[in-house]
Amino acid sequence: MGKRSRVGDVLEVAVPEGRIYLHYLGVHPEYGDGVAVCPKRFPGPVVVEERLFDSSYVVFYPARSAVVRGLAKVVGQLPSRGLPRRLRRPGARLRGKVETWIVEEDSREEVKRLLSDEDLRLPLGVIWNHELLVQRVLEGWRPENEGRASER
Amino acid sequence: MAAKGNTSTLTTAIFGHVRAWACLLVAAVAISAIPAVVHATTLATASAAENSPLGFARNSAPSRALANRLQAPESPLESAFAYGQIVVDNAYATRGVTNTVYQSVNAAGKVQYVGITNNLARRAAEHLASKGIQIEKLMGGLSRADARAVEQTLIEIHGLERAGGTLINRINSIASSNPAYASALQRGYELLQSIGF
Repeated sequence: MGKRSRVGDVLEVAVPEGRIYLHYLGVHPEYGDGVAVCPKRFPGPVVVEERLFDSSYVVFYPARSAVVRGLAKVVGQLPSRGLPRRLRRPGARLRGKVETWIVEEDSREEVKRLLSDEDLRLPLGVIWNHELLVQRVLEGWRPENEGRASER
Repeated sequence: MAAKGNTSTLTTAIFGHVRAWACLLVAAVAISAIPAVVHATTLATASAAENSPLGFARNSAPSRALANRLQAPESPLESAFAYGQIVVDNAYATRGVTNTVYQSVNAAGKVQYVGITNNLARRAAEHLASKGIQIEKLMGGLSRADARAVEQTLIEIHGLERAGGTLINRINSIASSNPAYASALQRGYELLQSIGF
């Protein structure tokens, strides 16, 4: 496929001993390209179908730039479910720890020291670069494990 | 006499035709020139509109050099060219563009860089192929002065690497010799308190 990506594209990223898959969901006004990340590594090509992203999570990753630069390639199309409006992002970081979280929805922001279970399920409003995306998928990262009280 | 009159009539007719053709030719030339004139006017207008706030014509050598520096993929971002960026961003700010203070954090959660941008997504795309980092928005919708105050306060909190801190920023956003340094730090702390610092 071409070197251009559009909303709904399924992207394949080569990783050590396999490949991972992303679904390009849309463009956030601040964070840019948002993708659903299939949290598994596959040894070979997969059939592109919606259930590939059943257990996915949403992050921000410059998908279009990645395709143009050859870091990801378009391997299919699925309907986009759009980007979530409610997100959380780290606020104060001190000595390597996140001290507060900012829960945002449109232009409203709320600062929290402790996150509820519902908050923990919110996608993160941060932008990953390519290396971090690969690292996070390979280590089995999930958003709900980021910011638990036990971590602090 | 009759022959002379006929000659005169013929001459008049010929000149009449020539004049008519000449007029047509002039009109045709004028009409064909209109698109070129319009095009030239459009280009001149567009060029004036696209000139940089610094007064560099777009694609002029200084403009290209500045653009190259702003788009440098490896950056320690603005640090190497803070002054140029500030001038540019101030110009944008007067047109209603606001500033976001962001930080670059590595996989271990260490804050490596703090900076200011008016386009977070573009800034992140510039770092697509860097070592593993995530770009986090800290505060948005700030004036340039507030953004610099917050940036400098964060530099004080995390510390420059050369002074034993974690940040790879090469220079301070506001020098400690600047008369506005103390008040900027106070303003920066006030703003950062609103997000839990």
